[in-house]
Amino acid sequence: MSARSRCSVLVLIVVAAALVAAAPAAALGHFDFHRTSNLNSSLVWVYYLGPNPVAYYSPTWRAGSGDSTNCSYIGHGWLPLGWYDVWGHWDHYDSTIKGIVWYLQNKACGDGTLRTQLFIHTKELANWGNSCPSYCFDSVYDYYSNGCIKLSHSGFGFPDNIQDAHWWWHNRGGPSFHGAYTAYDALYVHA
Amino acid sequence: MTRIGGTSRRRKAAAGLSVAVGGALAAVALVEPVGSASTRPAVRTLAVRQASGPVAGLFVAAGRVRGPRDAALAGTASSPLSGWVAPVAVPSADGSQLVYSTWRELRHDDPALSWSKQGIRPGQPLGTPTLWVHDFRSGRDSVVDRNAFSAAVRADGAVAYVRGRDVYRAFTPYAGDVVVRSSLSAKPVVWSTAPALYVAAAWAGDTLLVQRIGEGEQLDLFALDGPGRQRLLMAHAALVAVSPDGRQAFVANSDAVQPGAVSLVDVADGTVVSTLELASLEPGLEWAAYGGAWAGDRVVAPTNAGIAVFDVAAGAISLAELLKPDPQVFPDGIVEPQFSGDGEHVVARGDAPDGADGERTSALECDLRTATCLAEAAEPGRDWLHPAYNPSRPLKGGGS
Repeated sequence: MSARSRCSVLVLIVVAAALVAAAPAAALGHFDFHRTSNLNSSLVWVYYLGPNPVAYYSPTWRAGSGDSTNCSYIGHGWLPLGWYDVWGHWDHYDSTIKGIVWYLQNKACGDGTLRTQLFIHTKELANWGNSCPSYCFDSVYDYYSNGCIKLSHSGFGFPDNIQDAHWWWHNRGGPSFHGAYTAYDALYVHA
Repeated sequence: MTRIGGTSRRRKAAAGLSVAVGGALAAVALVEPVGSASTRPAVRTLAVRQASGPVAGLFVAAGRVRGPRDAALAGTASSPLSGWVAPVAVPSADGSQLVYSTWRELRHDDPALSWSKQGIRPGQPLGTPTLWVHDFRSGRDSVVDRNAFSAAVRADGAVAYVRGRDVYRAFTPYAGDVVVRSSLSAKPVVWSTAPALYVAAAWAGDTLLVQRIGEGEQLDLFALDGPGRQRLLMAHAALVAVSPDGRQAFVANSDAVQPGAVSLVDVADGTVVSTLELASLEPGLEWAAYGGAWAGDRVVAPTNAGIAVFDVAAGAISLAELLKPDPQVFPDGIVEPQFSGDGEHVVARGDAPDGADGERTSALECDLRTATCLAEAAEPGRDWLHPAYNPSRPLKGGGS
């Protein structure tokens, strides 16, 4: 390859890199959960437009976690502090938990108790519909969970925050994929 | 930052009646009637005082068992995979042995960081439990099984526990089988029908009650009548306690669906004998939880608002009284209440936050008649302070 050809290739690489860096899909982001109470904590999507360290934020959504502030209380305590990888993301998950979900990595509490199989989700059916009482969000007490992060769902006067979070994830820096995969550092939980 | 790589709960309980206490821990018990006139339950504030010495009851913490028996163990009795869904240490019916779990980290996991940030890859081994038995007569500890945890010890010495299919690995659901040994020297026989994250909770006669921790940490309660004979006793339910004759289970609805409830269930066929909706009480309770006890006609259970004492005479459930701790003394609750001696006393654990996700826990001895608890000095959560008790029934002697 001549020196001129090598130079052209280099220019193309630099231009391509610049384009990728500017595109929203290439930005980076994570959910930020401010854990203040079981019923009324907050979740926000934080993202960065390329290498620029300036953080941008989605609207802040009310979110709940657990029904006890005792982290080690399996099935009751709110989820532990720290950074989480996401184990996968589904639009129509259909198991005990249903609908739009983000599956979180396991995390230890201060005494070492492991919190497992936790999600970000709401109370909805796999097709995003409602079926009361198990799969509808019709009360502020639906923010309670066994430890998962809970967002509201539309249909009973609550905002459709699960869909909103879903949109920001896919359009402002989150992966476009669905199913089981690892999204690094996708959630930060802090007091 | 993201990069691509590979019950409803009811109304809030009424405001606490507790009298704040400082470091010296002293308060006055108050009484307030609640519920219907026919049941005459009462809400009382638990007065907590600093114990001058060890409280009654058998406890494990920091590699020791203490109380009526005192001994060093092979390690700290702990069970990160099951917490206190079932006791971490279980005395045999005659009290001569203690079966307990320990945990060995195979790779350090800093909870402040994600697994990816620590270089932990999917499938990487992170830890493994071991089930031990301590013999109080010889003072010796022996391994019951490796990669095993949570024991239910029957009056005749049969031991059930969970044996993992593999060690605990990153991004891999931990799954195990429920196995039973007719004695500690017998070979284990698999009783469960499919691997899952089980916890061996208690024997109810010859039936083994097992919790399964599922998605979203949903608890389901199963009854195992023998090898391959597994049936769902109640979905979305946590075992609180087994009746003294082993025929009934007192369970708490753990579904995130209104209203929360407690029920009496016949172990033999799953018949729900009686149910009490917690929201129907005044003031309403939000939830009751596992780790309670049953003596005579009374069941003691942890709830969101304190220790509840239920009357279960004649197959019906009513709330006899609610003992509320000062939220400033034990903001994270009093858990694992266990009757001790005459049924008017319970031993338990009081939890208070300590740092990020840590706890400081205190061993408690509470007198239900006077609504007074004696509290030992708090210990760090890493010591895994827990009552050692045997929830299986019937139990000849032994127990907590």
